[in-house]
Amino acid sequence: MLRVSLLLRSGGAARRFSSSFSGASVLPPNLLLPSNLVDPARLKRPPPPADCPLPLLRKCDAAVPSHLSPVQTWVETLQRPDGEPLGLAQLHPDVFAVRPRLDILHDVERWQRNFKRISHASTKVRSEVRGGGKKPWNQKGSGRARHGSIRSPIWRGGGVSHGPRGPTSYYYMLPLKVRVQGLKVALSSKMAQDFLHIVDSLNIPTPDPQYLLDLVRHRHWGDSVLIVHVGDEFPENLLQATENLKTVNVIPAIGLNVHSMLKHEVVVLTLDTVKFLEDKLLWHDQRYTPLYPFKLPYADFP
Amino acid sequence: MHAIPELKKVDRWTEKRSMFGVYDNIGILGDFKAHPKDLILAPCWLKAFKGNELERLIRKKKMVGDRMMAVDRHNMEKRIRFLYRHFNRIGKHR
Repeated sequence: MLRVSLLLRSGGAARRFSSSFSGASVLPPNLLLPSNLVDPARLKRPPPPADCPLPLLRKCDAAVPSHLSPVQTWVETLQRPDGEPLGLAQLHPDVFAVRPRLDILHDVERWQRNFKRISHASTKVRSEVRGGGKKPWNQKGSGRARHGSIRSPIWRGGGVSHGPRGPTSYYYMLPLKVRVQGLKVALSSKMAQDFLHIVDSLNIPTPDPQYLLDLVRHRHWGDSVLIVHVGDEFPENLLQATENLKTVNVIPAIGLNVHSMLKHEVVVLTLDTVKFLEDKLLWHDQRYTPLYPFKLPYADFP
Repeated sequence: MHAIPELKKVDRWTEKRSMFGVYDNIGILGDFKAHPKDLILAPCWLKAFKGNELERLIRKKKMVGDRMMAVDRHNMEKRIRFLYRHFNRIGKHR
C-alpha cells in the first residue's frame, strides 16, 4: 500500500505529496480532490484524557447544568512553532456542545446573504422609454400590422413588460434567539469536528507571514484560519503578519458570524474571547422577553 | 470555434469575500447598541424595508419625492397610478 499524506491548498492549485517509495507514481497535475477530504494527520489529536498532567487554565464561569459536563479542550500557544499544548480549558456545554442543527445554520447563513442584498437591476417600461407617443402609421390602409407606439414590448428597442423594477431589497430579520442559536450551533460544530482551537494569547515572535503559515501547516490545522480576539487592540506582529495573507484573517469578537465560521476551516479563539462569547450567548437562555427593544435602557442590563 | 468555454477563474478569497458577514451579529455580541440593519448599504428609502413594487414606490415618493428630477418623478407617479389600478381593480385579488 502506498502511504501518501496529502496536503491540500485552497483554490485547488498545486499539490505537494510525500511518499515512502521513491519510484512511486506521480499524482497528475490536474487532479481534482474533493474539498472535504480528511487529512489523516489531523485525526491524530485525541481529546484530553481525564488524568492529564497539564494544568486546568480555565473553568466555566456560568453554572453548568447538572446533567451536562463541560467540554474539555487543549489550550495551545502561538509563541512556539511546535504544537505542544499549554494546558486544558473547560467550555460551557450549552454553547460549545449544542445539537448540530443544520437547518438553523442554513437559515442563518441564508439570512446573512440576503438581508443586506439590494438588487439594482432595473428596466424601463414602455411608458418610460424615450419616444413612442405617436402612432407610427395609420390603423388601416398601409398594409402593415397595426401598432400604437414604437416602444411597446414587442418592438425592438421597446420597453420591458415584466422586468426587474428599480432597486429591490430582500431584507428580513430572523428571530433573535434563532440567530443566537445559529452562533452556538456553529461553534459546537467546529468543536465537534476538531476545527476549534483555544489559544492563550495572540502574541507572535515575528511579524513574518511565513511563520503563521508554517505553524498552521505543521499543526495540520487546515486551509483557512479565522482568528477571533476580544477588544480593540491586536498585537502588532499579528496584524502585520496577516495583512497580506488571504486565508488567515483576524476579526474582533463582535464580528463573529456564522458565514465567516463556515468559510474559514479553522477557528482560533483566545481565553478572553471564550469568556466573552459564553457571557453573551448564555444570557439569552434565561432572559425575559423584551417589553421594549434592548437598545433602550434597562435597569439590570447590561 | 471553442465548443467548451473555459471556466472563469474566481478568486474565493478576495477582501470582500473573506470579510463577508462580519459584524452581522453586532446586536447580539455588542450590547444591542447597533442593529444589523444599520449595516445595510442602500438608498435611504430601502434601508431595512421590504415591499412589492407599489410599496417601494410609495415609500420613495414619501421620502425622496420632493428631491427628484421632474421627469423621474412624473414617470414614478404614472407607475404608481398604473400599479394601484392594476392591483385594486384588475384580476381576481382586489
